[in-house]
Amino acid sequence: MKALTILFLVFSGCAALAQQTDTVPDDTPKEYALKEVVVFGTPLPRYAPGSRITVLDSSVLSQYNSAALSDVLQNQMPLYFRNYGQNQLSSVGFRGTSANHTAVLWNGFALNSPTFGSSDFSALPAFGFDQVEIQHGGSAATWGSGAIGGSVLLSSRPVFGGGWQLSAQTETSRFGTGDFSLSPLKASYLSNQVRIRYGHKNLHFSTNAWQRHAENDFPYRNTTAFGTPQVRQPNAAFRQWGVTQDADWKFARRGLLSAKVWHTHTYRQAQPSMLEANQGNYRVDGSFRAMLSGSYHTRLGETTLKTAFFRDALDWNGANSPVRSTQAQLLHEKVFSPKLSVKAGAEVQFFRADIAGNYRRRETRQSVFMLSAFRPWERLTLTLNVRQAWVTGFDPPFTPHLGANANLYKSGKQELDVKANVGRGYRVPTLHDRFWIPGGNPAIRPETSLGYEAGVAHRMSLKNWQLASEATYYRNAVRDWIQWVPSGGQGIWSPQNAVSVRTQGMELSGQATHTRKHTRISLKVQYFLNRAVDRQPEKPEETGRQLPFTPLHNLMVFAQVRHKDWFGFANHAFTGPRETFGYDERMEPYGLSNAMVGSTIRFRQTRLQFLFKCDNLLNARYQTYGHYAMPGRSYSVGIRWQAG
Amino acid sequence: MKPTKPMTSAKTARLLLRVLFISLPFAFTACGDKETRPRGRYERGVFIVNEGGFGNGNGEISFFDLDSNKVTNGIFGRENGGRPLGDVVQSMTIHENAAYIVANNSNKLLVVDARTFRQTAEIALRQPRHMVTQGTTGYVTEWVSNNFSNPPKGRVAIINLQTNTTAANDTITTNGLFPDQMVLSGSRLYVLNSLENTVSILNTQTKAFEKKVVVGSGPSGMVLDRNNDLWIMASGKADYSKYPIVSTLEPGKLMRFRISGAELLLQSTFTFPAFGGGNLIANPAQDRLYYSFNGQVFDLAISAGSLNTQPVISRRFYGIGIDPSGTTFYGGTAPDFRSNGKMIRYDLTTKTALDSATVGIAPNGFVFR
Repeated sequence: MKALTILFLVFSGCAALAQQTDTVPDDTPKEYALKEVVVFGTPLPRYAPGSRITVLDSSVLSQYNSAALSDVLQNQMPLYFRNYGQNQLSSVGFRGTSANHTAVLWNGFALNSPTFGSSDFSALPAFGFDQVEIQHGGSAATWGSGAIGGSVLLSSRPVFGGGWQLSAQTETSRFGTGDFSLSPLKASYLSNQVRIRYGHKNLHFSTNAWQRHAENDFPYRNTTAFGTPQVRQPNAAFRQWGVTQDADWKFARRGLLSAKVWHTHTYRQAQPSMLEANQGNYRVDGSFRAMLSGSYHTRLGETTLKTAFFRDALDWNGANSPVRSTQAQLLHEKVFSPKLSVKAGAEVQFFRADIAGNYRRRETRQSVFMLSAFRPWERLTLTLNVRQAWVTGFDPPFTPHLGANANLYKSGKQELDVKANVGRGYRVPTLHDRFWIPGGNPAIRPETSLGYEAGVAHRMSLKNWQLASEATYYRNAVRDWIQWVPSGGQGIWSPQNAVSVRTQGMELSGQATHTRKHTRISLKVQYFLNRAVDRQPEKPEETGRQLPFTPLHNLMVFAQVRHKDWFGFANHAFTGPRETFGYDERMEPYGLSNAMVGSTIRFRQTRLQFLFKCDNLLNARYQTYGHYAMPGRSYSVGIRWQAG
Repeated sequence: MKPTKPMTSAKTARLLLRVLFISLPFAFTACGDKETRPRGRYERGVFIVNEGGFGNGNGEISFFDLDSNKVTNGIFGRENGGRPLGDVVQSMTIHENAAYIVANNSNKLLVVDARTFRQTAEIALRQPRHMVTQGTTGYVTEWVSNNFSNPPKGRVAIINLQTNTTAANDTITTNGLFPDQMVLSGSRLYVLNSLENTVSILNTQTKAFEKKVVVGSGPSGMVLDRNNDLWIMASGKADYSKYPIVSTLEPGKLMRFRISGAELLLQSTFTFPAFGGGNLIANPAQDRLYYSFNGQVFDLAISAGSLNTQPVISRRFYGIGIDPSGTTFYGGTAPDFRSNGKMIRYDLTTKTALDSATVGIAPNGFVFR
């Protein structure tokens, strides 16, 4: 193998890097200016004062058109994803919790697998919706089961008016060493996207189609093997294609009817770890999601009826296990005055799992909830959210959530807010937890949590500078945390409410943006400290240990520059040491850097963008879970064309 | 002359010192040589085989030093620059001064110097399980693949213990699925086919499969007693579909066979009250068997007419062992495959626990040295 200086060609979405459209308005393509047109549904912050919220709008997402949602999130925030290799199963736990404690919702519907309890962020593309909102901390009263550590909300929003808009993009990557090849067929990574959008006064259509293909035969040094040889990763290929179709219709000036379809097909070879024999395993995930929603405004408020049907089929080496979910929500929101608004709703979820060679089960979950926002004074916003859920066989507890945001200081140039919230959370055990043969435990209880947080947020504008900072302290106690342990006379693995986990930590972030005529520079520093220790009455020696694969320290520095038609970013994420299972091993800290530079060429109504990207710039050798190799430095080239 | 004398003596002293300094390392080397080789850290004690969690690559070896009564965990990583040992560390066999460690799901057999635990060689195999040695030859069972739904025929790889290599075709088919433990008696190798209800008999001279003997569902262990009779444990079958109610479809049993050439002649059968049974070992005198059943450890004299109803120890162990003196019982507990286990020692005469220590994940066996 020869050191190969790579090259990459193709298109990638690197759109305007400006996150705030107001500062560089002339460059802002229409699709980024969504907020000005219409707001679909309730903006998250209304019923979440007191929470730390990160919003990634389409201007951020469009930089990652060719990537997975996991790439976007770990590029933007110091979050720790547990990756079973490149493009393999990837999950995230917020604030020291696990993947099962991260609720993922698509336009308000829970996406987490009812059988596994979590979402695979590397199978979720970053392309196909317009906004990702992250609510850090528990918010189960608002989002239901699993919203204990954090919630990730994906939504697509209609744009009425604007006519046709087309864009196409292609991107390819090569790894830093290996065989030099120019052929796109031999690309390590190839991705293509097409977007067609049409907006009329009362109509909106949007079609997104994409394809991603990664060979993932990247070279790496196998530090676990005798003689630490340089090898190539076998059996890690990834192929995904997907399509989304949105149609929205505004009728009678008061109503909105929306239909959305999202299908993703992901084929993945199961990457063996550096220590594992390659068994040639593969999995295919087919996810079909469709929803229909109608809302209507009257004097009594806005009523919305939404239904959704999901079919998630996991095929492991040819054994197919489909899980179907049918969900419906009825919501009513009334804004009584600028001081008081209330949203009440009911939700029904019906799951049907047909697990190959194992079980076939149904489960129904219902819940009612009420969210309310109250502003007794201009500067104080309070929220009280409550939810009660019922599940076949057992009931999660009543789940209240109380939040407050006080604007302590406000002048023309700066503002200081104090936030706080306290809330309960719950997680319904998965179908596997209850019905898996052998071991499924029908008597398992739901997990419950009690958490609170307090924070300060400061914003300041000085001439050409915009400064923003936020500090949050949180604490959360999760009880009845479910773990599979050998039990009973035969030592069969069975889930038990074995552990209590206490998490506490802080999130600090600061951002400085300098804008000047044609130039905009922005620097963002974020530090997350997550302490998560378990208490196991049956295993006292485990008590007080940091949970495995949960780094205490996470730091990210993100810099972004834009000058005329040139743009670029660079980031560096530092991840502290991590505990693993047992005491024999500890994972060393690592730093991961990425950089991108691009340029836009304009011609009448069309724009052409070129981009050059380098991932893992410092060629760090790292793993995030077990001994699954991650690729070293890679380079990509992308081109994007956009019209309308 | 007088003034020169002290100078001379000073010079001499300096010269002497210099010689001494230069020869110092040699002196020490000489000393070392006299004491034969440098003494390794792992000379006298018990190796604990920690399997680790499947897919996590965290199997390791712990060492219980009988001189200091202390356990050192993770000795492979410690002696090999922090390198992990492997995924699913199934077993370890000592032959002369080499320890052969089977990393089942890493598809390899690691060879380390048993005294220093530094790795000296690595042999690529396919889903290896257990090893026995005879002279300068080692035999290792291989599942070939761990695909349960479509398992291939297993085999036994033949290892040259002088070169620590294996020739590509130097294998004997077991003609059975998932070959596991082995017993070597004369020129015959008896291999448990863990996914079948059989034992395969292989001829090590002709390197050929001879025949398969049906022994019952779920064969889980095999030992040779002092009369050269072969004891085989089969765990039977159970129905888990109504868990936590587990119903027995076929009870576990312990069988004694007389070895007669390529034949196994059933002498007696001891049937357990239900499905189960595992961890079958014999004491060093080979006149008493120990095994686990239903979360307890039982013993059975090889001359006994029926099973003991009272356990020796009422505790669930993942792996068990008996020291060469035959007086101390070693049990390894595995709370799960994520957290460290424990080694608990028992006095076999009083049947009471002596001490315990934290070991690695899922301790499945003990190797005495």
